[in-house]
Amino acid sequence: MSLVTVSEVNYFYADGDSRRYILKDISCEFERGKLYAILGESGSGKTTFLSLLAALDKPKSGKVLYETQDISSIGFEKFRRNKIGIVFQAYNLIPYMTAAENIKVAMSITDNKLPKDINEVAYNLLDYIGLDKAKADRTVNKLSGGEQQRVAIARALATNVDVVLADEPTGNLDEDMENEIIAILQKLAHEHNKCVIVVTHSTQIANQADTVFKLRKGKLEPYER
Amino acid sequence: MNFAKRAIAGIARKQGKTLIFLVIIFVLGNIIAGAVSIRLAVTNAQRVLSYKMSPVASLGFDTEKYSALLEKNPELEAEAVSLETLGEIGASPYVKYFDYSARLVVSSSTLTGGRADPFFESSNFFEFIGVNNPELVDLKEELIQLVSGRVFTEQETKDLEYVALVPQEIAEMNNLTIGSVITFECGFSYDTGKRRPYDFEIVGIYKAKTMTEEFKDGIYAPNKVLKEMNDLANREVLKDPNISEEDYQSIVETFRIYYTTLFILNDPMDLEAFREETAALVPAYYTVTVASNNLEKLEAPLQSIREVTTLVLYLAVVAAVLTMSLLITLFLRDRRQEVGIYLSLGERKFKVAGQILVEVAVVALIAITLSLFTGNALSGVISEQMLADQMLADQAHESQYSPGDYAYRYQGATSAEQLAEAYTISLNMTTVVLFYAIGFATVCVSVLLPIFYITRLNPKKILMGGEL
Ligand SMILES: Nc1ncnc2c1ncn2[C@@H]1O[C@H](COP(=O)(O)OP(=O)(O)OP(=O)(O)O)[C@@H](O)[C@H]1O
Ligand SMILES: [Mg+2]
Repeated sequence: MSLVTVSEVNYFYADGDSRRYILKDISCEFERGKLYAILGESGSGKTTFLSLLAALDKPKSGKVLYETQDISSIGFEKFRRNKIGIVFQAYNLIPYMTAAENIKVAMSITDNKLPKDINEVAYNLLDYIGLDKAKADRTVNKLSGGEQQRVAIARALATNVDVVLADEPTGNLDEDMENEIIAILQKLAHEHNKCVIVVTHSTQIANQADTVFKLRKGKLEPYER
Repeated sequence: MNFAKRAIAGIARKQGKTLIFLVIIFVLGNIIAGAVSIRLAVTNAQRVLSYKMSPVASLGFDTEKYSALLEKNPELEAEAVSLETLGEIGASPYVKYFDYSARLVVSSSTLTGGRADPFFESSNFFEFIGVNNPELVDLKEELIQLVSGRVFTEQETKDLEYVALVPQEIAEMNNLTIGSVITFECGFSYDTGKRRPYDFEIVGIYKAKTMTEEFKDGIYAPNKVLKEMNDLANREVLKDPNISEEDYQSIVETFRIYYTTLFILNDPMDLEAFREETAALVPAYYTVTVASNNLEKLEAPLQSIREVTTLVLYLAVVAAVLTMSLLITLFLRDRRQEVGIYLSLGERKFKVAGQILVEVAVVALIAITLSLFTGNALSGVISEQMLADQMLADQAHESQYSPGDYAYRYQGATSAEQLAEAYTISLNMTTVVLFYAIGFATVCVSVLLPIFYITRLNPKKILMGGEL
């Protein structure tokens, strides 16, 4: 059964008086337990598409459903808070806080039921993802790019959501680090039954994904490897 | 890490920002705290003073009016107001206390502590203040205070009794106590070829409290006695065969005893009614003057301080709101990314706003509390200086009364003491509450603009636009 459903979504940017359509009548479905990759050339509209899934923007027409509910009727803020985790290319961590604190920020924002000891959860999560206690207590601007991206992934998971969205999560990382991050994302989908959607132009990720789409001229097409 | 904890982390870890806020709020807080406590002190002083003081009026000969009338009617003769008429005016229901007073300067060869007279270097002069009201209006109105003994009796002011109240300094200088007899000389005895001595019994010793400086050494005695002494001195002149009747008349005219009047009214509001009532009883060239009486005189500097501090208060609040709004907005621009992250995590906007408010409010609380004390202390120094300057400036353009008037005593420099007594800067509950209220209102208004700024932020633009 589909967890996230995109139904006839259109999106355009106003360009003076004219509209420049980036997404045209896109429909697709995403399920639990799978890693999705969405490929596309630079400027093809990958980030734009992800921002609609992430409820950071709304489609000009069409709907995004979570289970059977339109996410705009859930409320964008609430949807972001309780249903999804986002991982950005630029990590987007709060620079003057430690890794553990960054995770606890997200945990304090969600309404989802979490274990009582959020402190322990934060450290365990970071440990699971490869950051020991010493690194967990470091302010994040003193961590490497790969380490920061792990923190960001841990933050996306910490709120106990089913959907993890990632925009070029390995864009700033070298190849080894990229492989490690891909392995983590795979584990999330396959071992933890999350729906993981990654937007990227890395073929490396596409190779590891369960399902791959390609965004081209505003259309989302299945991609054959 | 809920919004309050994030705010505390923001304060503790962004120390540069915190320090700038602390300093700015502290400085502005000092100004606001100062203005608030000065205003309250002024209000307080005004209340105390208006409670304490009643308006002082006196009946005076209006020379301008007289010459104007004289032009129309050259026959017009200036009439004196009789003591009976004065008594009638004094009995008015508007009048709280009434008295009239003769003045007489005498010398003494036995007492020390008199005034030197520039014309007679070796002389030792004393000034008598005549009273008709045995209870002494000066005492009632707290210009003086009784150190020992008593005031006069009804009898002593009616009959010719040589009794006196002397100032404490003179009493101490001459070892005088109640019952001591002191001797003054007045006039010249043609028979003995010496000055004529008068013995007075001391019935009371007083201390000047809030009286014009020049009169702190006056000696109170019944008007009747002073008139008698003056008349005797005048009559004595007649015995000189070299003096013509004409000369004598002019001498008597010059050295005639005359009275100045003093009416303490119940209420400043009664003044106009009292004026009208009095005008019906006296010739047109007499007017009731209420010179800058104490209250008005003290009101002026208080009022000007009040105006200045009100202005300062408003300016400081406006300056605080502007600076803080601007600063917070600037700091927030630096933290757009952070705000974008909270919003992308689904944080409610009011909580992000709450974080900003707490960050500012905690720093403000510290700065405001500090400035409450320093501002209060500072304002004490500054406002007392302002008050002193103001009083000096005020005294420069004083007084409708001439020093010979009884009422003149009531507009003395010593009223400054009264004011200083009533005017005290203190940290009372009202000051504290008012100051915190103004402080926090200012903080709240200051975060409005930044909060508006936050609500306009779009996390997609911040996090995905531009650099990505
Ligand atoms: N706010 C905007 N206003 C107008 N045009 C925009 C805006 N944001 C993006 N675009 C345009 O829309 C198109 C799609 O942008 P988008 O960021 O989704 O591409 P992308 O596939 O993520 O590219 P990249 O791989 O470089 O990240 C681009 O041509 C871009 O210039
Ligand atoms: Mg992109």
